[in-house]
Amino acid sequence: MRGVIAPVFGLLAVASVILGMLNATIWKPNRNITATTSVSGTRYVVSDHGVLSSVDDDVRLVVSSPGASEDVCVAVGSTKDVTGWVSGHAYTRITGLNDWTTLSSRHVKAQSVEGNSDPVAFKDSDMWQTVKCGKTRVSLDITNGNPEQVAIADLGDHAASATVTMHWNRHTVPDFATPLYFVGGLLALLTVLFASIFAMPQEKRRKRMVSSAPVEAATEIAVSEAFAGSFAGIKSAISIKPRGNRRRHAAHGQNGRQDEPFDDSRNAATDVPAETGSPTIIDPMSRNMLANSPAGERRTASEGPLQTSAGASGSGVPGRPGDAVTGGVAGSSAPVREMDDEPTSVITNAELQAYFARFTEETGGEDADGSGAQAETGSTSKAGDENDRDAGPSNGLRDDPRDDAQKGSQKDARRNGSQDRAAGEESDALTQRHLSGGDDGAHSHGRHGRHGRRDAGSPSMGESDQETR
Amino acid sequence: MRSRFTKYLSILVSAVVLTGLAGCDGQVPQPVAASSSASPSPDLTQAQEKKIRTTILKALDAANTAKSTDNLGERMTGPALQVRTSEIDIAKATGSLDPKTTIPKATTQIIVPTDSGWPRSVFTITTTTADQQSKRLLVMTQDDARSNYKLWGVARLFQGAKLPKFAVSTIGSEMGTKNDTGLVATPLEAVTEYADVLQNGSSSKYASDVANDYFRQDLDKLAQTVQEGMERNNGTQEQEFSPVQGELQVMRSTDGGDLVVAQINSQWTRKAGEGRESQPASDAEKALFANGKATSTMRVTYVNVIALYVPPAHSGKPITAVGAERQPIKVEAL
Repeated sequence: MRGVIAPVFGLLAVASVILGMLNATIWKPNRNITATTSVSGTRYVVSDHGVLSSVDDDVRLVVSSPGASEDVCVAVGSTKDVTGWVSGHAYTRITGLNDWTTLSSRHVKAQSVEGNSDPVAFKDSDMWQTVKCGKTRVSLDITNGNPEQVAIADLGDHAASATVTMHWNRHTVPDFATPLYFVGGLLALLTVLFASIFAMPQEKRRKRMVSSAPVEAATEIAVSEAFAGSFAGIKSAISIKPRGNRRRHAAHGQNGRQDEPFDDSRNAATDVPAETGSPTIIDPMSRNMLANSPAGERRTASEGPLQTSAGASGSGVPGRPGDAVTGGVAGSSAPVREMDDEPTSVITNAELQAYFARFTEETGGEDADGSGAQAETGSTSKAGDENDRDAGPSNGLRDDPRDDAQKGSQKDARRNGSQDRAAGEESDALTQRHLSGGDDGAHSHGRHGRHGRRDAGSPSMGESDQETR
Repeated sequence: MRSRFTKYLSILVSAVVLTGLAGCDGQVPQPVAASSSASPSPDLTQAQEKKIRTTILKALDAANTAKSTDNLGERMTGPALQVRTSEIDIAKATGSLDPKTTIPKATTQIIVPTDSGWPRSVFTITTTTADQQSKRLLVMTQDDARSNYKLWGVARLFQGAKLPKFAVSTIGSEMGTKNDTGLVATPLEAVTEYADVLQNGSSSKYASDVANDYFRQDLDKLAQTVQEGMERNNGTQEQEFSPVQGELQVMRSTDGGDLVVAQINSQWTRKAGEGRESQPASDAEKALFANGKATSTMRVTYVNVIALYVPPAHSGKPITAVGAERQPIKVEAL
């Protein structure tokens, strides 16, 4: 489309405009029209009804008869008067325009009619509206003519030959340029349309819409966090959710292809997997997915949810974390999934939930678990301050290093205690938070970034993840 | 490549098409054909009528001033020519024209025909004169295409006479013929009836069909006066009215009636009794008689120009004279 049709229209548009300009300048219709014809053999020359005003209302009639012995006279009268005058005589009729420079004429024979014995002179007749005579040439200007008026010329007794010329100065000239300009404008518009909008592949259009989704999540973190925190508090107090094996993030990797995108309803109904223990902290930002993903299977699997949103994006694109997460969330439709053991490009559900749990505690449940946190707090946070925060590859999460320490200690404590249940509660809370907060993926990843640091320090988290799987 | 070829081809085709559109001066216009259904147009424009009338009146004035009848025939014809000739002749004798010969230059109504053939007649009604004489009805005729308009008849309209309505001069009116139907009588019959009534008065068999009018009353009064004079001398007098063949102009009014202007000649024969001489009865007659030798019988020929309104049939109205002119043109002593 873009390569063929748009240039064609463009050239047509240019041609239209050029032709329009030519019509406005070089080819502009002539304002002055002069048509002439020569007559001979008859004394009278009569113009037909409507000929005088055929081109314009104002006309100059010139009758020139070099060989005339008497005066040449031209008069304007009504059709019936002129017809009455020439009855019984032969005359030449000027019937119209042959082309823009020639008049057409026709010879009419005399019909035998009784003539007046004492006719009045041509120029003295009462019937004419205007009369003008001249020696060999007469020029008569007729203004505001109506089709009823006809001209009659008397060439004298000897019926000399004459040339009859009609000259018009057109007040309105036909305009051929404007329609061409208009067509040119339309064609230009079509060119632009065909080159831009109509040429866009459909996937691109849709893909743009998809790729903007994760950006949204980043801005909404604050709100979702707040919601998640409150929900987590509620949930942990209310119930224990069954431990469905919902591997949202990892699951879509395998079954994503079959899933429909963005089916949030499924998320609501999902069970919370019962992963407990420390999640494996993975920083997807620092991850080389191509290097790490074991096979095309995983790659294609991870693409599954991506495909639904932007099919043309190649398999080589390391999916943005947001994509992965949301896809994962959407994709995890099947209640129970087989979990991939390896750390994938996608965060595992356990990790996410653990993170959420930690966050909940930090923000909402600090009081409850504060004791555990104290010990570690002293060791790490004091020195850290702000610098620590900046050093981490977080996505803008401004936590106290103390908080991190607290989280870590809390995690450790949980690990030791009733991990499953807590984890379940946490994951429940996380689920809620995740749902309410929309796309917490990026945020989670940021957190996981922190967790990444911690990863080095607490290898047991990964183990616990594996356990729960 | 295919796409390039297509491009070039499309350019070529569009150029050809657009050039065809671009044709240089446009289409040659065709003259508007005369539509046969168009309403007939008046034969004369107002300007033309005024020009004609002015020319005629100018010629008349010239003749009046010169008191010459030589060139009257150029612009006068019919009864008007006879009347004006007589008037000028009388003026020669008396030294001045009769005031009744005045024709005002301004008009109140112009009735223009729409007929495309010939002869044509134009009726014009002037204003009242400067000395408050009645309006004049002028009838100008054109006999054929190669003639000019001439003044055919002049009639002085009666005071308070109601004329029929006509369309304005920009629309034009239809001329009538002497045998128009749909009226109480054809124009020719109406003139005959009127002449009969003029002649026989109330004992005419058409007396009921013709309304009384000033002209008849005037004539009656005149005849009575003369009769009294005649009877004193045991003379007789008689008048004979006869319409002149072919001297009739008819114009159809919008209400279905006709306005007829006709020439009715009359001969007034006065026989003086007891061997007396019959003398001219008026200054005009006297002037015309000039140095003639009076005998006992005098016959005066009058030209009467009568304007009649002939109403449509079943309208219940009588034939009414709306204007007249009476002029002796010949006085003979028999």
